[in-house]
Amino acid sequence: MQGLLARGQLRLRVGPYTYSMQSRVPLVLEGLRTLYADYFLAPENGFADYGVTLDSPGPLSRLQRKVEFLFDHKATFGLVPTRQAYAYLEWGMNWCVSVHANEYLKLHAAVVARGDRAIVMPGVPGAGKSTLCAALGLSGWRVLSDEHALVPTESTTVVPVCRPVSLKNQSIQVIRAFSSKAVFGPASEDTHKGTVAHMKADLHPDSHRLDPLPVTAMVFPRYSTADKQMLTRRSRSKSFVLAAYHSFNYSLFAAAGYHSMVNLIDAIECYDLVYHDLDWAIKSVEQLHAGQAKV
Amino acid sequence: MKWQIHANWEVYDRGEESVVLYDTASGDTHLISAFAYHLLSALAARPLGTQELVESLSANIDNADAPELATAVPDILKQLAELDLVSATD
Repeated sequence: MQGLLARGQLRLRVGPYTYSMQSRVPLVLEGLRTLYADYFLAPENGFADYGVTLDSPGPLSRLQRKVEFLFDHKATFGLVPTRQAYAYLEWGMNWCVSVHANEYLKLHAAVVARGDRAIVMPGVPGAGKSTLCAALGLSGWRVLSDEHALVPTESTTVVPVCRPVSLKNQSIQVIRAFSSKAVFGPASEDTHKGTVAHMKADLHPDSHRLDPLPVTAMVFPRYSTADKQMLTRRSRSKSFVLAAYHSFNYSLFAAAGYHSMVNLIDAIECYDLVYHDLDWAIKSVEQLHAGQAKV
Repeated sequence: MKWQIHANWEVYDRGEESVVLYDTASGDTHLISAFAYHLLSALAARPLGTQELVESLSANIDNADAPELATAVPDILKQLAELDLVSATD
């Protein structure tokens, strides 16, 4: 992998997309080896949807211990400390899909599945969706995505695009304590989001299957130590608007986006989940998935 | 002065306290109360003045609620105008 990565010949398949990857940063190699060990590679020098580079642009930046993320050879975010390289690689890979993949209606959401039915969990950063997603992944659920729910327009399915779960600050320790099976890549400290580390998410035997799964529910999680834990139904109209708010491209689709959201919301049940205990939250999600939620 | 609708829309109404309105001209999506949608539907038939709207809605409520209606309707019309869904006309 090291040679392919250094030469820009690494082609990583992630769901429906192929990333061309190039980097000589040791942290990037370490992270990829740890978190993508079981991912399929596409042929070297073959077609890639996204070309990403994480490297120092020149000798001066190498001396300054700075790197930059390039998308299709264009600098995107400016120079960042080399010790944060891995976080910026993952953020950059997210950005590729967030900004460019408009063949799907995209929600900013984690997606998990049990059996052949998926649950979409939209949420603003810090709401607790990634922590819950990680815990579900460690509890036998399949993680379809930690970041993007890709919904083919006018459908009620979601396309898997599994990548490592991004955890921040206290959540990292919470998940380490939750399960000894959690595997983490290199941590990036002092980022604008604090300390960020990524958990290997493809733990389920079906993690790399590409077929879309029907969505059975939308759950809006919110971590809170101040509020009582509860699972409650959320109105369809309010869920519609909040899901659209959490979409990267709902407005871009115009009327087709509206109709897609109508189809999706009509086909599923919507819930709010307030939690501070992961075991309780997992049990609640399992019950609602089995149609046994007490709400 | 009368009020008229200022937009064409599609509506997602599932019998809840709120509905989703998609403005087909602007592409904006709004979450409005079911009552606000009731006002819009009344105006969709023909332009009406504020008092005409209050009177037409009063027919379906208790007399005790009428004063509250007389206050609520102008407020909601103002909000709908800010969303560019209605406009005042002479």
